[in-house]
Amino acid sequence: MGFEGLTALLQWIGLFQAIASKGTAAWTNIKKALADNGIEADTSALDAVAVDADRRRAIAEHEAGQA
Amino acid sequence: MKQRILAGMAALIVMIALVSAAGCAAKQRHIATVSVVAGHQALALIQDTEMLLVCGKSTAPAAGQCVPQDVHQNEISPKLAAAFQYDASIARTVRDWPVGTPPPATIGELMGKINAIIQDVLRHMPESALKTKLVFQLGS
Repeated sequence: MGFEGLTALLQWIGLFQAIASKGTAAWTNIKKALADNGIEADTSALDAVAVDADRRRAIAEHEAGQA
Repeated sequence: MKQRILAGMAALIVMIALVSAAGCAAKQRHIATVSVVAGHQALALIQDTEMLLVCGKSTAPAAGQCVPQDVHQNEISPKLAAAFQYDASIARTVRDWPVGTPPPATIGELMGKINAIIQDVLRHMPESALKTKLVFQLGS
């Protein structure tokens, strides 16, 4: 392989490495976004449970004559 | 020709580093969330059903099968109030649980208390068609 061929090879390897690193970063970002959305959905559900639990506790206390 | 093939093969080698899944750490919290939601639904179903069973209400079954007013006021309602307090506490604990850290020990303790209250409340409810349906729904 001549000098020109080696240079071209290194350029191709560099190009594919750049594509691969961007692809890896993109895939990492996608997975993080999915995880974050799942965490946010769970947080919303837990907030809703807490609010409803407070409401039902108040109802139970009223029924018990404690309100 | 051979050199061109080798160059092409080298160019085609793409190193993809598989990053460990960012969502694995969130799975424990998600499982806990599902449990909290299911537990809350069960408690809510018990409260709603018990309210229908109180003697004197239009929805109550015949005497002997309905929940006496004094039992409803002095036994069941205070227990349900405590259960929902634990319920809200668990929900907030799980919500504030940092992803990737061990689950807080209080979650298991509070769930145990809620389960004990549920069993106690069911014991105070006389047998009736509505209670049978409730037990079936809780078990399913």
